Amino acid sequence: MQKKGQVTVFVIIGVLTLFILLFIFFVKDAAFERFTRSPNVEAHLQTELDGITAEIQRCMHQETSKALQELGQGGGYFTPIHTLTFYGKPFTYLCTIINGKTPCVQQLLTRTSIETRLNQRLQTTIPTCMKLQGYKNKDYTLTTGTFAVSSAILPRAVLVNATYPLTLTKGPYEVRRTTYSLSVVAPLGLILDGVHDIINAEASDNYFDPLAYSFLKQSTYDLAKHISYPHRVYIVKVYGSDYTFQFAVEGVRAA
Amino acid sequence: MKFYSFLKTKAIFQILLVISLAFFMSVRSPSAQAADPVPGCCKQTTSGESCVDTTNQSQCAPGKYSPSSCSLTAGCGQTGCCVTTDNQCSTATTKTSCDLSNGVFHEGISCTALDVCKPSCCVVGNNCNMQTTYSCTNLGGEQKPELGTEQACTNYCSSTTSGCCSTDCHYGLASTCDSSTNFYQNIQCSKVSSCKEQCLAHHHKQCGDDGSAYWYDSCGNREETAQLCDPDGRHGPSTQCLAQDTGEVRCQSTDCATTWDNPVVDEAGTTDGGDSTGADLTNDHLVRKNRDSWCEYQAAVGPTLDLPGTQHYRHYCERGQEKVDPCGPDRSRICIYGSVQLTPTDAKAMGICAPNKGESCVACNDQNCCEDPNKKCVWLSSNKEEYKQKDGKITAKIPLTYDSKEKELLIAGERESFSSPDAISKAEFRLRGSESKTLSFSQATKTSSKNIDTYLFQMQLSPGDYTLLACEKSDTKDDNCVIIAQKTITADSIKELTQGKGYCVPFVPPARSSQCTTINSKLVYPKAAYWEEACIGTDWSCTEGCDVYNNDFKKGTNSLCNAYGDCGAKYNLAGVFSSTGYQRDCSPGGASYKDINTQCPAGSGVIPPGTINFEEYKYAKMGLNILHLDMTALSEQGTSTTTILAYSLGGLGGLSLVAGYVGATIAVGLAGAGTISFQAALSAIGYVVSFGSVGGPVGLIIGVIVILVIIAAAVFFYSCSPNEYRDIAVSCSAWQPPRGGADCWKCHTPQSQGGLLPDAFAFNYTGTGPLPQYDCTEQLCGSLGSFCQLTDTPQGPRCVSNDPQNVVPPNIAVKNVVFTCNDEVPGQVGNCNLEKDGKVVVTGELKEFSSVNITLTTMNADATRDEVAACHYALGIEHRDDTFENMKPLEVGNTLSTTHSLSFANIGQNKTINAYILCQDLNKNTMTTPLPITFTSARQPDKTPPTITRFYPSIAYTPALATTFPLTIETNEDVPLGTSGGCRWSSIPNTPFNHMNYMDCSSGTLSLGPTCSTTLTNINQTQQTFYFRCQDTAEPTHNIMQQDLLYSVQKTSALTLNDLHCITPLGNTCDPTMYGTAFNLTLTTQGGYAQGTSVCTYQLDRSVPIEFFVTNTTSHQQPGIRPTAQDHILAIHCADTIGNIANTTLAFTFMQDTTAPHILRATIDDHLLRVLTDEKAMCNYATNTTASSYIPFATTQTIMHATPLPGNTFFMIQCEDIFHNTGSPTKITIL
Repeated sequence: MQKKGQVTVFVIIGVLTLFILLFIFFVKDAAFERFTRSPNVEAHLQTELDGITAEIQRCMHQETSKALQELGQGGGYFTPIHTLTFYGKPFTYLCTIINGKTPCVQQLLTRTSIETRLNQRLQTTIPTCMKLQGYKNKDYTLTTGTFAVSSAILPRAVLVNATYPLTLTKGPYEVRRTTYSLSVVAPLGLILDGVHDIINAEASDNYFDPLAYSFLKQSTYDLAKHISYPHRVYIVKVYGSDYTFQFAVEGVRAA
Repeated sequence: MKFYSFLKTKAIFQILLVISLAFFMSVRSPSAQAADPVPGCCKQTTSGESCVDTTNQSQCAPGKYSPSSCSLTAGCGQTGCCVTTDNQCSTATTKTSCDLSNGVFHEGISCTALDVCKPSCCVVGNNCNMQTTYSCTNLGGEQKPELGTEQACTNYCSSTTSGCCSTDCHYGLASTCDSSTNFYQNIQCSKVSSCKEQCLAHHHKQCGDDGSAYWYDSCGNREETAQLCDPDGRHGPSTQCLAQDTGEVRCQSTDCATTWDNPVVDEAGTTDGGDSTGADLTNDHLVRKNRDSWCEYQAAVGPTLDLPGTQHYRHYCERGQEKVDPCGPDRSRICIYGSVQLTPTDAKAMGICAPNKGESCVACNDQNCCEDPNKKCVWLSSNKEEYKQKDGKITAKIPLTYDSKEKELLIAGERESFSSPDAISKAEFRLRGSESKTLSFSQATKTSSKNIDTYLFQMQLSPGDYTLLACEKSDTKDDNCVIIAQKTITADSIKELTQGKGYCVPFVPPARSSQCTTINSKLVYPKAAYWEEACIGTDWSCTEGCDVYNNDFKKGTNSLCNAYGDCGAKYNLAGVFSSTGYQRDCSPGGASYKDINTQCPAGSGVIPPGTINFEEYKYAKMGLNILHLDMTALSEQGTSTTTILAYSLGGLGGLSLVAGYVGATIAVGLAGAGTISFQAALSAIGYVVSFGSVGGPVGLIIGVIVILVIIAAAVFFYSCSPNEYRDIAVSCSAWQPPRGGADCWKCHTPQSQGGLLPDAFAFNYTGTGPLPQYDCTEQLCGSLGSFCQLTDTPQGPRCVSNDPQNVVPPNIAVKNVVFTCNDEVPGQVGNCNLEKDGKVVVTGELKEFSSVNITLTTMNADATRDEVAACHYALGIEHRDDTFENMKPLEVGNTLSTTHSLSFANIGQNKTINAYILCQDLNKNTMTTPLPITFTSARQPDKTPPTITRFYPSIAYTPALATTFPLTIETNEDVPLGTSGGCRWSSIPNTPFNHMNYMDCSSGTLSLGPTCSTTLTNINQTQQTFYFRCQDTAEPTHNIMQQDLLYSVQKTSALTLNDLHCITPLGNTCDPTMYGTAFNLTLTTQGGYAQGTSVCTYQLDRSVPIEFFVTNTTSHQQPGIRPTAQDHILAIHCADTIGNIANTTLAFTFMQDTTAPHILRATIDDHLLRVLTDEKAMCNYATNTTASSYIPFATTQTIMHATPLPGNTFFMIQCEDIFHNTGSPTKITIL
């Protein structure tokens, strides 16, 4: 009888042990996950944030490139008013006739003024471009702040800096990013210096000599000068780059 | 009575009618005016432009509209120089424009008058150039305002030695090194012991500013030439350093291997100067060197010759490409070319578009006035040249020219630097040769033009060789004088003309007619012919001077008329003669001469066609080639080629622009100005009577001679009967183009097609790529016919006939139709043919969902030439009777064009498409019957799925960090719209259609099929392929593409920054603490889109970002960063063209070491005196207390210094660190 009782005890202990082992087997994954959860969540949030950052930078690059092309076609303006139509295309007058007299009076085309126009354009187009729907309604909260952008025209590139506060929150975990920057390779700054020289010559001498300028600048610029009488049309590039900047200079008919 | 009453009533009625109409008109008039737009001024437009005249107030930014024109608007009417905050100077800007840019406005002042805008010496490395403050700052240079002249600037660099400054291991001027002891003259940094570890020699090659390839060390210092290129081909073919796509840097040919051979110009200079048939015009195609320039013409050029509508062109070679610079269709500039002598063995072809100043010629009545070099006129006269000689001597003229801008004296090929005009007068110029003379400034004639003062010395000299010496007045010995010129004074060198009747005409006739009538007062010839009444009878006849009634007289005086512009009778470039503009009048002033019609029948005053030969005007031959002038003039004038060339170049303008290049050569010309008259020069090429080869002037001169002979003869002859002198006059007026517009098309048509433009530069422009370089101009168009009118089209300027009597609508021709016939049943297969005679009808059936592209050309009434027109279209048979106005424009903006296209991107299935096209010409003549277009897509069940016809973009590269990529596809048939899954994508091949990702689809347009867009995600691989499929809208079951269509996205590797070095005297690592006054920053980039080619910028302490001095490559350098002595953050940012970016930030403390090295220990070991210092230093010792002569340790410039033990037991030791901190002398006594 005593031996039977011992067997029963052992059976009970064995069954309990089995249950405990089964319990451990079933809960080990959950427990493991519980212990290792915090770094996974942060890494996950960071991955998501990297994806959003890449999307923002893609839009910054895409929209800046597009805007720079438009600026080049528009002679530094996005929707110019005073233009000459040549080959069916509009060319912005950067030097205009006032009071019917030559030489012309120049539109002051400074880097700062173009940066201002570029900023205004990008301020609208970059947020429109960004496709962040895929990052919303997920298992974390995406909080966004106000988007702001500023650009700097350098000789061979345009630097774009943006601030766009982003916060991804999940429980106690949070990742943030505020600033984004990139540069778009386009020799706008270099071209603007050349354009300034061309307009200065036109505004003072009523003439610009492309060959003499080639000597002066060691053939840096690939210049094409056309005459749509009495106006002049200039198409300016820098050798080694496809970026094009074009504009017109207003003239007066000879008496 | 009744009758009178009726008249009275009628009169009253008429008076009332007149009054009421007048009242009505006066009332209506203001209202009619009110309808006109009011001119106003946008001080700033909505797009940011300033001071734009407008009639549309909405174009102005809010509050920036002024109701008066800009010239009368405050701020816009004020012009001057604007200096922006970064010192950029802009001349001739408005105050408004300047204010908007926050600049400082200087009203009415030229920027050249402001010091900040004047170029001064800018030192960048060891280069010195004149730059404005703005440019020098951008170059990162140091400005030296005290060096205000180019010479002083150049001297500064040449007189200041260059070398390596070991303070920061940069190679530059000695003056930029903070210590002379650290300066190693003419030694590369890679060879200086303290720099050679961080500055590795021959690290890489780069192109230098002078166009050659140079080695650079790893610190960014330029070393010796790696490959000497020759950008201007001075020693052979022109070559220029260029970086290849492979990254290799080497010289590459920049010659223009073959240039255009203009069929009317002898570019090679092989014309013998004879008639047109003798000109060798087809042998050119010359090889031109980089930046060579020359002239091309459309027809003959020169006095009296240029045809209406023609202009001059300058061509030049740049980087292997022939370029065109039009001088101006109004011939306000003319092209002159020749050869500029750079060295005795090296010449460069150079042409310029010089101002045509011919307008002032007509005011000159004598030769002296005419030959003023500033006027550029030609004296046409019948007078013979005479040399004034006296006692075997001739009158010599010797010019000296002073360029006050360059501060140089210019004479006969030499330049002498004179710091001020006063210095000239302090010098003495002596002539030594057959006679000895001193040139006296007090007796010189001085003329000034801009920066150039010319002193003309005139004296009697015996012919012979002379040497001109420049001496100091105080120095009487010739031996000390500088020989500045050697001249030969021959009898031929000076010519003076006797004064007489002549005409001062422009060198090249301007393309205008404003001066045509101004010479009419000079074209009246009193008593030109002598008439007598027959001794028997009453008939009058001309007996003397009757040649004035001949055609030669008309030709001659017409040539004179031609000379003043587009005046008189002339051909146009198409070879059509117009006699309007010239009229000989045999009875001037209304004189009634008896029997005058025997010589001057009615209608004989004009020049009949055929009198003047077009061939004489067709060929330019060598044109205004100064070299040719030299070839014939040299022997007579004894003057150099360059003298004549530069006379024209310098005098005619463009001097300041070319002077920098041609240097001394221009000076020759200026010095020579005045020694050769245009008369003499022109004589040499046959423009004047004595060598006459050209019909126009010859006739003129003959005419003039004839007149003079007649006048003289008339004095001596009498007749037996009543006789009289009779006057004759010529009326010169504006040339008129031939009536009509039949030749208009030639203006914009290449020569190979019968037009007037060179094929090489007048290709058909298709809307992309560079524009053609020769265009039809307003002037050329207008010269071809009275109805010719220039209009702009997308294909370029077109000259069209705008004949008001033309009521014939344009024709339309079918140029090309692209379609695909159906090739499968049950639809109709075969019998698919195009009928395009007056229609576009495709019989049979076309492949369902295929595209049809139709290209049309509008033509003139007889379908012989293209004609610009606007075309409209309508779709659907119910619209076949629509008016032009009710149809839709084919071209964007309804622009006029000769080529028109209509595209159907997707013709669907089982559809018959009917379209109608109407075109309207410039005169608003509209086609009466539309061009019908009919075709049918295959009538068969839609069993085929759609096809993806295009991906946008076609090639995809993404930055390394990007995981998404936006994409648009175009399909050939309708797909379900929106996000209902018309087209789908997956990153896994053969994904079931219903498991694929949906795209967002939009319906197509007439010329564009339906499009679907998406953003591809999860791009993680270097090359990731995506799979696309679409379904159509067929009912009841959509056809789904069975096969995936693949699209690959190339993911570039990350752009990385490598080899980041901060080069300081202590090393080349970017340490948290760096010592020095400045450091050089170098880095390389790898990966990305183009093997690491990127643009890098840096920002010190979040200031304005600055592009690296050398960037847009893989090796980036920024020399001379000079932070203050404090903590700094330096952010470096690089980006490639597709958006890969690489950033890094350096936080460092920049310190200047102000502590002297301390001697920690001094020991004697193995007969060596050893000293240990607490920092790297240079230690010296002396053996006496006075320390008068320190001797360097044998081993020093480290922390352990050693030197053999001298015999003494007492030493003074002093150490100095590399920042020149010197410690106090330390006394050491050996016990």
